[in-house]
Amino acid sequence: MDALFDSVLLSRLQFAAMAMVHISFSVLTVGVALFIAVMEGLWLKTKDPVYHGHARFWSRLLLLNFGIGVVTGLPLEFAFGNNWAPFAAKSTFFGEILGTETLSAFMLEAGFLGVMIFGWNRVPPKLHFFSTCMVVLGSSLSVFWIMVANSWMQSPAGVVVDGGRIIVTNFREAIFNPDMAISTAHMYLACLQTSLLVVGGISAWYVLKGRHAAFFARSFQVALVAALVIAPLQVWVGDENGREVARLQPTKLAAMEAHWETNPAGQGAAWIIAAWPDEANRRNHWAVEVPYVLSLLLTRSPTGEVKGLKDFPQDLHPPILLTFYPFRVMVFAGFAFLGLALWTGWRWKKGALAAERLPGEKWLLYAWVAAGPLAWAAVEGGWITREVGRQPWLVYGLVRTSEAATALPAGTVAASLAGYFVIAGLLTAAFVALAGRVLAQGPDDSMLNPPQAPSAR
Amino acid sequence: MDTLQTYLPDYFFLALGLILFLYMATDGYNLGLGIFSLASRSEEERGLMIHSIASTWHASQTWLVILGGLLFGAFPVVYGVAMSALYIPVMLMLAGLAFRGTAIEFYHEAPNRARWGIAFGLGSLAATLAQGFTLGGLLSGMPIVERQFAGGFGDWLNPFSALVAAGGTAGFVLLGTTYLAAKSDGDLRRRALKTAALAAWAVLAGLALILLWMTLQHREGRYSLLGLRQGHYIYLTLPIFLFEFAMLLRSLKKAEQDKPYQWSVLLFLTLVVGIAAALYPMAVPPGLTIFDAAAPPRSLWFLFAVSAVLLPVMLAYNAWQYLVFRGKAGQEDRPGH
Repeated sequence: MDALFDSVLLSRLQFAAMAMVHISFSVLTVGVALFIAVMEGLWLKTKDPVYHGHARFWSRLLLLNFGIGVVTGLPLEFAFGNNWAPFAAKSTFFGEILGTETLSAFMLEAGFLGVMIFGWNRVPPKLHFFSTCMVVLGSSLSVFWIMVANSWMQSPAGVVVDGGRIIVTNFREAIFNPDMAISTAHMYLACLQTSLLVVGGISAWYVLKGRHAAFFARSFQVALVAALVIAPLQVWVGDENGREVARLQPTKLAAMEAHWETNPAGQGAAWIIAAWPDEANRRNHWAVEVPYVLSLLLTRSPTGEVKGLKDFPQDLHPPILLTFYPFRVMVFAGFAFLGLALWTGWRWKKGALAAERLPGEKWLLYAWVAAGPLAWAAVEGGWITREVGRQPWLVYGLVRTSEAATALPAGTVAASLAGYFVIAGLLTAAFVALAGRVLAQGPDDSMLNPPQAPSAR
Repeated sequence: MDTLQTYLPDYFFLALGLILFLYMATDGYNLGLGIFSLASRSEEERGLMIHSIASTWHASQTWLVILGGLLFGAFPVVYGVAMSALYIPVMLMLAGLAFRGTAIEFYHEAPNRARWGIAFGLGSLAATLAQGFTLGGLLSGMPIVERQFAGGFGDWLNPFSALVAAGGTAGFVLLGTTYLAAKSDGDLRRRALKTAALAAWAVLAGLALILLWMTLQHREGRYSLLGLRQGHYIYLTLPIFLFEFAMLLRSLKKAEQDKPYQWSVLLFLTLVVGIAAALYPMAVPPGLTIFDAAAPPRSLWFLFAVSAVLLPVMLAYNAWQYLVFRGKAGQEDRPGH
């Protein structure tokens, strides 16, 4: 019950809740908008009305998703002033980047979304396609800028601390901080992967149900082609990201792997598949390990040194359970997606994915339906690892989380957090019900007819 | 460069004023329309109102997001202080906007439209009131110690901010109904114009009460906007305001097409200019100036470059989107319908 009286902890919980809710919608906005742009581009190129139908059908779902994505994102922006005012006042770089994001990305998305969704009959097809592409560009730039801001918190560069404030001395270094490129790539691929698995999963569900099987075989095939590229790429980028974490944030890495003791020279560090870490006694109660693998992964040598948590003062240890297990969820999901992509690719090679044979691939289709929810688990797992693993720092090595929170009365934060749970819960439930309704209705005949030429106004 | 640098906080003061005005002029009519929709006489009518803003409300709301982002970037101390002090009204505003926004998207897909219609109306009302209290709370002044808010978390709730909230609500209803009058026909249009006239008088009454309150407060020697160095500048905008008010009433009486909305927007512009002139160079009254609150020079230059390039571009494509959706609202554009 102490948590109810600790306003810093409540502010952290509130931010975590807001971020976890928001991201589950925004990853879809990024990827599904791109998917729609691809479909629309294919339609303009081939004139095949199936592609036009797909662009229209998925737009309807995108709009529902966009609405809730926007209103759940708004509180996150204000949270930096509401709950993290000392951080806002101290670290000006974060505000500059957020400001830049709103100017360059959010308005681009919002300014063209109207035409993308409602403007089919009001502008010529090519101008419509341009609007769709601007929405994609806007949402992709959002990913870029938010990752610039977040990666700077992971590996702050280009700044000096002066009179209690963090002053930027070099914007290029601060923006292109050491963590930026790899984590932006990892996150962007996560958006694409989640979206293609959701689009593929929904398409597989329609094929399984025998509804518009030929229509959805098309979107399934597009999802598959994307998966064949993205799933292996993500595993590779994820591995590179892990090596960067080891270099930049050794405490996070050690917590992610429940790695307590630095391996002595000549001995390899083992990779732990599962364990029960004990923070108080600084050891694992039990662990299932694969010898040498952790050293191999991080140093490309079977006996390379990997620093253990015990090498760092205990007050710099992140909460270990919340870093270790979410990381495993993400990694296992990543490999599951790779397996699914390879399996599907193999069936494709065998010719089993042609529209008339696809409905026979029952198990494969069920696996795709299951992969959608798993993709969300991977995204959430990855972000929990990234943010909890950075603790006790808000800005790694520069600002502690405990000194960055607004001195709000705990009761006020508890009330806003409770309110947030109620409202986000209500709206998410409504979103699920309404998206389910749209899916149950399926595409209508009009979605197979190309739009009329815009009226001469 | 050094002389230019001293003007950077002024530039951001102006830019933020412009964005606040753009937010009020655009999302103001969305929110006002939402409040007016609570008085709609049929579900069909409400559907038309919601549809008339469905294609542009994202962009309107994004001005608020930009207002926050630019304030955070240019005046981080103000962002921290104001958002802490206004924690409760900001949370209420976010809750209102959450219902308002999702209701717009969900309404046409929902089996029970009335429920989302009410969420749209009440969400708009809550957000509008909360924004009024936020602005009123900010103008009421905030004590600051070491770059942090040092007052009470209930300070925003006072007679002055309540007057601002009431006046602001009337103002948004004015924007919403004059906008709706341009987008609709027949009985709905007639009622929108009638409500607009009532709202216009309520705005005038609200403004008179606010000025009266400030003048009385000032005499007692307590803090008010008028206590600032240029506080009396707010009186200078009054003649312009009254002229625009008369023109608005005239155009409402003649039931003109787009003019009532345009005069209402000008009223808001005059108000924003008046407040800005009275406030300058304060960022948070009574003591924090924009020069004390500004981010370090290098940061300001960065954000200056970004915003000076992007603001005109944003204005251009926003204008284009409005152009695409000009004319009376119809149902023909909905996806899947």
